[in-house]
Amino acid sequence: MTSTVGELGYREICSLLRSDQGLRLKTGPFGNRIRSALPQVAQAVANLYGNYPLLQKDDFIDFDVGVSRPSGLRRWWQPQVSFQLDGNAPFNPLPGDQGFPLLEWGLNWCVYGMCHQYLILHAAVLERGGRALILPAPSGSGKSTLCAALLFNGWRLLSDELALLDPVSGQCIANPRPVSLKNESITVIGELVSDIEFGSRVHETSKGTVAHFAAPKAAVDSASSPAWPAWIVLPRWQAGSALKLQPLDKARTLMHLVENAFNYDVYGAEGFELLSQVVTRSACFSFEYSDLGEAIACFSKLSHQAGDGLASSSLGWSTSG
Amino acid sequence: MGEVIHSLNDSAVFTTAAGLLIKQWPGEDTGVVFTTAERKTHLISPLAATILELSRSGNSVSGLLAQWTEPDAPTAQHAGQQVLFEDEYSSEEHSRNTLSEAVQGLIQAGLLRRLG
Repeated sequence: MTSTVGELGYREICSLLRSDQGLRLKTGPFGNRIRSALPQVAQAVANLYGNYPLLQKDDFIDFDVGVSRPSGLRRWWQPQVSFQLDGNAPFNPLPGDQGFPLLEWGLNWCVYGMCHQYLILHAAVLERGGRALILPAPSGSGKSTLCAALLFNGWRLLSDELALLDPVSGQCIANPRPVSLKNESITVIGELVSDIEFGSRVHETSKGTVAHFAAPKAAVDSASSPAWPAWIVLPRWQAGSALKLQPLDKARTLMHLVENAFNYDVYGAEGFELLSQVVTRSACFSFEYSDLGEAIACFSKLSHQAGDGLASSSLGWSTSG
Repeated sequence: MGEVIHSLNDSAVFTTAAGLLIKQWPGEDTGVVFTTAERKTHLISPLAATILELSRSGNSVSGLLAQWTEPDAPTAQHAGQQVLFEDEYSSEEHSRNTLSEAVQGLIQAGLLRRLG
């Protein structure tokens, strides 16, 4: 019995993606059914989702999604691709070669738009020694580049884009998916990690040139293991900058988390309490860098220092489970 | 006005007032406040944080206000006013109300930055 997407083989992956049954796979805590007849999507799914567990027919599906060509003349003249959730198309179509990026952006939208069982931050999250490093930042700050560099240097990927905070446990929930890099970052990480395998480079997207690489197998295999928030670091890449890791007060850190939260309003006072507890237990910094090697060494050193976080029990959170 | 509760929860100071959740961490010059009515989060200015810190450290609000209003050489007339002032704010409930009002006033005066 096959247990991962990769065990299916490319032909069967294509067949399932084309069928009504769809390709059912688990990403982090979420069940997905993906359908697409597009070869570019099938190729990328085969290359980048090979390590993910398959779901059985009766398993719960959180996101029933697809990517297809819209009907009409555009199918033949300047073809486009469209994302569907539950059979509906919530976005305008994109140029025809952007099928896989659209699938990834659509799945992100599903998570931050609907999964309010978590307080969700626009942040990369990595783990080392059971402790989570949260990198909240908007696009263009160097967050994804830094995240990619760290996950090849001793850190486990929880997410390169969305931090899922469990309001019950206070932990960061893992949802590792293919990592998206843009523009110069693709070359930078390609030079840093010699054996990295990118999917197709897609040019002229709204974010520029985009390429994905697969989440490490160890991260996918450990996706059921959450991590306690321990460090919150606001990264900023600045050309030519000397490395600066400066303590940031907790009040301002909390405000940064609020600014980078997708569904803080949904939570109200509970969200305020949750973020307060997260910053209380975390060491908080601003971080400016230009050299990835220096950044990797800095975070390695940071991971060996005890955070100023507090025992989870003192915050009213359970350490079990 | 509602109740004001000061409690230490490890390193964070949690203070709640009527419609406000206020948090300040020791050694920091600012804090944060969540207004339950608006469901907004604000960064508290150093001035507001000073009021909270003084209140937390045991200085009564009435005492604080009295310090600020005390002249260098009190006149007899002012001494009488001072008594009235202290009488007016003698109860702990009044002190709590004053702090809560002060914080809300700081929000309305724009001393708290609205972000959330």
